[in-house]
Amino acid sequence: MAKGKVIAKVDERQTQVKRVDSLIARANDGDAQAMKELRPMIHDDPGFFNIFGDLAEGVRQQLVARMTGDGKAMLTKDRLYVRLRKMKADLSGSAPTPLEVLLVERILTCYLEVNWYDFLYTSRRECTLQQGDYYQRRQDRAHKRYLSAVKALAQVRRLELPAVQVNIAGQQMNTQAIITRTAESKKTTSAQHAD
Amino acid sequence: MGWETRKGKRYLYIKMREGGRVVSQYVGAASALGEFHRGSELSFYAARRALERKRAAIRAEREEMDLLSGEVADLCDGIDAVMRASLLLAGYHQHDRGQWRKRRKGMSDGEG
Repeated sequence: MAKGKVIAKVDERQTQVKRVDSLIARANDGDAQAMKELRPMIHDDPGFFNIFGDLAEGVRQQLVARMTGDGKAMLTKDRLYVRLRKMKADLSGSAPTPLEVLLVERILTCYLEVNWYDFLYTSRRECTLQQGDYYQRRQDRAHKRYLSAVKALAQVRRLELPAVQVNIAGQQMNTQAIITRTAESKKTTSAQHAD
Repeated sequence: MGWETRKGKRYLYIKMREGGRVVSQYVGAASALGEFHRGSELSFYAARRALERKRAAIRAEREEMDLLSGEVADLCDGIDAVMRASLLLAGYHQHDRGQWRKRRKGMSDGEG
């Protein structure tokens, strides 16, 4: 893809996120109109979710390439992907909602970033105090992002958020079915209790 | 060629004749050149080239880090926005930029 197109895509994404951010702030303050505008963006626009699914995959591929390229492999590419797949399975659980899938994608990407900085820092044979400080700050920021990502998933799980309909990395996840299934299962359970 | 001390630090300059006058060309700081300098006068040029290569590599690495970290930060911001929007639509609100709490009276846009 041409550099101009990439920049345009990034700009478009940032504009969308800014717009959603402003709507969220208004909705959080009780603005019903903002809520009305937010709903179709989250529930009906698969493109909005696709962006982040694709982005996460792309960034992870770049990070893996940096960590395993140039003969300075910390882990081989295959081993790294195996570890990521295992982490994904462990974090996702048996029936993750699409939002949880997205949050797991975020955790995996942040995990790789933290490891990349650890790798860069430890692979430096010599560096000045200033350079060391620079790497340390990078590591700290990456670690903070990683912890936030983990916290976000835990928070959503704790609140037992209902699922929404999204498309992630080209795979459409019809969460309406999940909601229906959950509702049916609740009905069955309550019917059983009533009996 | 000679070392000059400026503000307590030593720097290497080469004196050259250009168009009938002597000009001094900066080579590098003693602290930075020390690791490359092997003692002979010729090696100063090699030292400078090596130093420039090293600086260019550090610059490239930092640019790469900026780019990738920027991508990760964008991703985190975006997913965070999706999460907050989903929580709001599910009837929660964020109290004082911290805890998410269920709204007592569900704010409705007529569809939820």
